[in-house]
Amino acid sequence: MRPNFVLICSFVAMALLGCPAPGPVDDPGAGGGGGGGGGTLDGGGGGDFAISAKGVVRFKRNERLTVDFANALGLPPDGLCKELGLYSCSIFVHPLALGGVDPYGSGLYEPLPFTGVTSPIVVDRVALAGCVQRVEADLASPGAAVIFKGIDLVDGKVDPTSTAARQALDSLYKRALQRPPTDGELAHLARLNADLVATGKPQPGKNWLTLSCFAVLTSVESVFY
Amino acid sequence: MKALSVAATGGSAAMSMMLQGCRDAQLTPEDRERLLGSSTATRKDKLEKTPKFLIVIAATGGASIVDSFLAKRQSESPNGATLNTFPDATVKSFANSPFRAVDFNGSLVLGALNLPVITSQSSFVNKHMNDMLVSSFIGTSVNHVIAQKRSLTGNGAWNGRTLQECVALEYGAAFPIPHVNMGIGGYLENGSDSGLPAYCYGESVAQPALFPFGLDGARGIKGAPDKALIELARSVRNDKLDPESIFARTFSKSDRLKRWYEQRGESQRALEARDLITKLNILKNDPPSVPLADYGLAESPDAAKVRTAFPSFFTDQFEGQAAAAYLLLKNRVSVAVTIGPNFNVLINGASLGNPPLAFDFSHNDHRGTQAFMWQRILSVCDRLIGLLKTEPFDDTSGTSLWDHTMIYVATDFGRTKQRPSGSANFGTGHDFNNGHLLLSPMVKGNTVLGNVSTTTLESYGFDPETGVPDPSKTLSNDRELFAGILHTLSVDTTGSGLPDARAFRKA
Repeated sequence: MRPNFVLICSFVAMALLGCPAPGPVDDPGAGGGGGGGGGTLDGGGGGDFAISAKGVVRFKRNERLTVDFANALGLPPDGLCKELGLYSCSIFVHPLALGGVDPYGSGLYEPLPFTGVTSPIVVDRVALAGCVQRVEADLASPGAAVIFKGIDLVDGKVDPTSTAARQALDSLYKRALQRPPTDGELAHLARLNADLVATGKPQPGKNWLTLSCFAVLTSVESVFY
Repeated sequence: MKALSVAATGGSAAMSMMLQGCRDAQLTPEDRERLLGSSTATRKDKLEKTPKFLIVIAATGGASIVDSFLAKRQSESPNGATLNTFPDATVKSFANSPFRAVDFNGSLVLGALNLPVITSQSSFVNKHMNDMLVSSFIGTSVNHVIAQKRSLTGNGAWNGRTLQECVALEYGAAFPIPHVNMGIGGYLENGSDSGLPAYCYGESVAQPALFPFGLDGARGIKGAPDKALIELARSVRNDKLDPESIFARTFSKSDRLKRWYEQRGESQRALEARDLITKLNILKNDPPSVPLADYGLAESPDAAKVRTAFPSFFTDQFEGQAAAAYLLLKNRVSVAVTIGPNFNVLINGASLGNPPLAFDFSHNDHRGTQAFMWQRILSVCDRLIGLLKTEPFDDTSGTSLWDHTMIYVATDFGRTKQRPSGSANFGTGHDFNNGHLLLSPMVKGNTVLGNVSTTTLESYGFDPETGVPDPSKTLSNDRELFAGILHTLSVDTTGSGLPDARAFRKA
């Protein structure tokens, strides 16, 4: 009888050991580069980097997002985005859509587990409001420009291959993503410039600067970590 | 050998179930959603269903049913002097109705705040009794947050999903934001069934009057490029920058990123295309405090009507939530909306809008708080019903939006029934025993299910199928209320194990 009992226990133990634990749901320490618990090398010809096996990333949520966007754009956090020029988008009006907590109002002490339907819309809104301000300020006062320095608008257009434009994008990427842009990214943004010019809408240069800023700030690399 | 044979026969089934459990544990919510959504026919059925709507009004803090529709006169109870009964003349009865009402004309003050309380529950009953059903309720928690959540899940009656999530699952597939939640604490939490499609979970809203701004990524931002140009930038981001970035490729297996890509794609475009930033906007252009026109925005075509019904919508969040609830239903944005007062004190102009702790100020002064807060809840219900009644459901049926809507006045729990002998000024604690109010043309109106003992003021249950009261049922009946609400809303509960609760439905 005893060996049979041992056999059963061994069988059950083997079955349980073969059942891996569920992956971490929201581990603040997880999600770093290198794949965490292991990974595979990218087979898509994109270079030598590991694909995270678990893919654990976190949404930055309202306060981190506000501070990161504000720092990237050289704007005060409380002036980054205000609805009707009065109410802070990320702290007062849309904190829950941006994954924040609201202990004193909604009694929400912990962030909700998932991004909501309106989360990407609000992220777009906050980033766009900030980018519009940065571009307008830099073009209005070139001497005090923070990102878009020395930009020459000829007939309202910008040459995306000019040194000034390249340096502006380099600065934007380094401030927002802590790395320089790749050649591919510069090419995509140059293509955006051509598309904007082709629409025939006024101020294609200014719009290109604003929308390049918008596209970078709202990329998943900027919004998640 | 015997052990092995056991493992190979009867044991194999158990082992199979165990391993199935292992596999299920590995599934993310997104995996389950894909599995659930794999039946095209089921999804199509849901899209084609005529929707029904659920508005949960969270009576935060513990709304006591013996201070409203099941109130008892002191002369009716052998223990009337020491239980929470009322002077006989204060309790109103109605011909051919089981309901009671408690009216105060200023003779009552709100505890240490010393403010006169003027209420008229009787006018509400007179107006709405045929759409009212009161169900006795015996809960399972006297902790606010836990009890709040249980009032929505029936204490985990159906895999832990909330009533709103059930309604969103049944009717919400074609709606842009099927479930909007503006409640607090436990009323705001998702249910614990993580296997539902993502659209079933609540979209949380902090500022109801300003929430519509979050329904468009660009409008209302001064100096923003033209919308068509923004779409070009979004395309570059979505189709080029992100797919090629090392970050996105490194974390390509992230469920959060997959969800994000879905949310910012078609669903974002569909939401923005509906111009909800205008249709849900109650604000009136009034520079400099509300400079709508300066920002290229306009008010909803319904704004004037809604502002008339809820004039304090901007300062009183509960009114703002009710206004938003109406517009969310009218514009077919949502099928389930949760609203309710929070725990914060509100001074509205020269008067008190909300006492600190809402109904839970009953700890300090029970009678005044309950009277004040019931009046607050019923007033919002009345105005909301009024708006929904004026709104045609469609062009052909001849029915109103109200005919397809239920208001569930959920609350945390009841209050203790004792008081110092004969006192009208006393505090109460939390109690399992209570009752809930349902309002809808779909419920069996003018009905009380179960009742309250005149000896103890404690609730007792009923047969959920026949509605026959049963004084011997004094244990938890969360599941019956949960089932009754879903059955009344024609939610398919097949496989849930919920009781048949047809006693709630209009025949």
